[in-house]
Amino acid sequence: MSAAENKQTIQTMYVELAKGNLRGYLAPMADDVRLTILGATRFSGTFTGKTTYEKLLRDLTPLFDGRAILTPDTFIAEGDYVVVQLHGQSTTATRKPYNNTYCMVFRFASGKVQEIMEYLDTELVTTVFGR
Amino acid sequence: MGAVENKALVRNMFTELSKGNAEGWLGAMADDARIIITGTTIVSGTHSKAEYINKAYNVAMPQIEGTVVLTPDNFIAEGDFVAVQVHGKSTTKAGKPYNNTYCMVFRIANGKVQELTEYSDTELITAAFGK
Repeated sequence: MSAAENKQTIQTMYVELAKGNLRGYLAPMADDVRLTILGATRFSGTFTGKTTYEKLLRDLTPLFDGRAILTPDTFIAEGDYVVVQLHGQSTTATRKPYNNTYCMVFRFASGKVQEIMEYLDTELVTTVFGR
Repeated sequence: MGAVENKALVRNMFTELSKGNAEGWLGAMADDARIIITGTTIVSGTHSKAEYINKAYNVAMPQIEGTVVLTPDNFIAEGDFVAVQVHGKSTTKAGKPYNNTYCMVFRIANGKVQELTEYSDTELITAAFGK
């Protein structure tokens, strides 16, 4: 797929996520997708597999009051990569504001998302969610 | 300039920085550039070029033994944007390793960097440099 097609795929993923459709968000990912969340927070690490990622997302749901809103601000696509700058707006189940800032780097292979690197304000993660 | 020229500009900034030529890094930025370091760390904020220089030279660098070696691993360019995945290697004056992971997003216009957003492991910044 071209960079433009990859970008379209990622844009669609965020539209699905905004609707609360986790399956739609995960659909373009390879079964053995690898996700790395920056840092040493309680959510940080490298995770392999679409089912692992889905469980991770479902485990996050009860930590929030309502839905976390992720707004993509910029998409930068070249070759196999799409970079997305995002800001999040949410309230935790304990009524704390949690508005993080993210940069996501998606790598495509054979038409599927193969690798995701998530950069975010790790200090805010620990401040809000603890260790 | 196109994405190819923009990428060459940013690549050259990293080359100059690696030679210890800070002016080669800063010189590629517009006088009214905005530098955003995410989070609420000692170096975080939306900075003018002067404030950014102050944070680098008077806040971060005095706490580093020698220099921070920044290695760009991946450049992704489209339109006015260049995203760079970077890893850093350094040691603090207190002898702690400070090896951060960054995504830097440059917005370029008129041949100069107008905006730089730096995502990094903010929790690690505070662990290394304090609040």
